[in-house]
This record gives sequence, structure tokens and C-alpha cells, in this order.
Amino acid sequence: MTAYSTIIQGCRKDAPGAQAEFYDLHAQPLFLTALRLLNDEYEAEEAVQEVMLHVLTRKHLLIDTQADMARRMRRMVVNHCIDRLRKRRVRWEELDDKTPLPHAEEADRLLIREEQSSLLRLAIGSLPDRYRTVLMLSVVEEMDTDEISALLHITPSSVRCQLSRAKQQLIKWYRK
Amino acid sequence: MNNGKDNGLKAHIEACYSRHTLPPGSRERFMAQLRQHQRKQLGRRRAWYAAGTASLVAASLLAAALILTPPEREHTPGEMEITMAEVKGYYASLFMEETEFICDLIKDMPPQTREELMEEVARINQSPDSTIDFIMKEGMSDGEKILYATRVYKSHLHSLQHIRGILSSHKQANLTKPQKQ
Repeated sequence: MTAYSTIIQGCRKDAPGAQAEFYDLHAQPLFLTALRLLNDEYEAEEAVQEVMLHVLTRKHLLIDTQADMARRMRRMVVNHCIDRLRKRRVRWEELDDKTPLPHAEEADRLLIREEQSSLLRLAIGSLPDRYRTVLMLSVVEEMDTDEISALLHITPSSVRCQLSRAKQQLIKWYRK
Repeated sequence: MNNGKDNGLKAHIEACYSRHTLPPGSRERFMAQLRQHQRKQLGRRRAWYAAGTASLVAASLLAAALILTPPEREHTPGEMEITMAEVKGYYASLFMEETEFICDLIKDMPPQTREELMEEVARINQSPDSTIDFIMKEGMSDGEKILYATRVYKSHLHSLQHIRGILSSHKQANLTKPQKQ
């Protein structure tokens, strides 16, 4: 039995030590996922804790392999954050912009060229919630357009459009 | 569309967030929240078990009293004949109706609580037949058997109605509670 499955066994028996270890193992990466989507440390921590609470009080959700458990919880955090954004009344509009947008690869190259991470963090923080969500889901969570469109209930072309606009705004922010 | 998988933008974004850590005391806050949640869950389960056990105890006491009480009288010729299957069918439909009422009352509860309540109702619903099997003795006439079975079924129906009453008043109390701002 691996060390991780021992922790999971402990969680199934409600052992506080195992539950604390489980939290230590998974909370930080989940917190970063939530922070990237919600852009608020307090809300991100709350989102992580709600997902953890949900998993630890429903034993059937626990998985014995760490990678699978992390993947499941990451997806749960993403869904939870989307719900929270909806409560903030963020609306992912249907867009079908005909104006030419910079090619995605070119935009990415421009963004990576700007080496200062703190600047990128500020630029991402300044994006409207709806653009930041699509950008994070696509670039960091590696979801494809169809997955994002199903999650946010918008058409794939709107997803593509909002992603391009998000990148365009980041470039504009840098050049200011 | 290129979603940034291979072009390094993902790593760049991740790096710029990597300095952020969970606020201090996060684990302690979570553990306290978890304990509180578990205590609440345990309280709800105990309240339900108490209601279920009280109903079962009442049914068992009645069954025991029935064993000691002789049947009131035999069927006399000319009376309308009822079969055991008819009695069972009649009460089964009433039990189903009560169970549906209970399902309806608990449908808004959290999934785990709902599952636990449904398991408990299913367990209670199995009890009359085993009680009847226990009290039926060889050599009893059909009339006696029907009389005993009717009493057990009736008592079981009262148990379900009692549970429904508790759940319904609980729901009513929740509805009339002032909403949080």
C-alpha cells in the first residue's frame, strides 16, 4: 500500500491526521487554480475549502491514486469557481466579432517575450472576469474550445473570440 | 485554435502566480470547518435514528401484544371473504403512497442525507412482513392470520405516517424561518 493510499484510508475513517495531510497535499495547487480564475485570495481559499469539505464528507469521491484525485479535485474547483463567477453576475456573452484579431500564436509569442512575471500577473488581474476565465481555462487548464463552450454555455466561436480579445487586451496593457 | 499547450504561455502564467501561497492558518480553519460539519451531520443522523427507532419499538410492542391476544372471532358463513393477498395489496399501496410523500418531503435535502433517509425508510418498510412471519403459527385459521396481519400493517402505516408528520413539520418550520440576509 502506498503512502497516499494510507492517507486515503485514514480519510475514509475520518482520521483528523489523515485529513490534515490530505489538505496539505492538495490545497496549494488547487488554491492557485482558484486564484487564477477568481483573482481574489480570500475567495480562492474559500472555494478550495468548500471542494475539500465536499470530498472529505462524501467518501465515495475519494480515489486511491494521487494524480487521479488531484485531477478530479482540480475539475471540481474549476466548476466551483465558474459557479462563483456566475454569482458575481459575470456573463460570457455570445460574440461573433468580424474585426481581424492577431493570430493566436503571434499573440502568445508577444506575451511570453515580456519577461517580467509580476507585470503579466498585474495585466491578467486587470482583465474582466469573463476574459480571464476563458484565458485560464484554455491556456492553463488546457481545455479545448468545445469543453469551455459546454462549461460556460456559450458557442465555440464566442469562446475563440473572447480568448483572442483577452490576449489582445493583455498586449495592449503591456504596450501602454 | 492553438490553446497554448506547447508555446510556453501556460508555464509563463503559472510562474507569475507561483509566489502566491494559501493564507496562514488555512489548514486550521479548514479542520475546524470539517469538524463542525461532521458534528452537524452526526446530529441529523441521530435525530433520524431516534425517530425511526421509536417507531420500530412501537411496532414491536404492538406485535408482542398481538401474540398474547387471541383473535376476536372466527369468520361466520355469509360474511364477505377477504384473502391475505388482498389485505397485503391494499396496505402495500398505502405504504407506497406514504413513502412517496416522504420522498417528496426530503427531495430538497442534501443528497447524502436524502440517501440515508431513504435507506432508513426502506429498512422500516421491510419490517411488517418479517413481524408477520414471526407471529404466524401453524394451525392458525385464515381468519386469524388476516386479523393479525391487518393489525401489523395498520401499526406500520401509523409509523410511516408518524415519520411523515415529523418531516413535514420540520420542513414547515424551515419554510417559516426568516431568510438570511
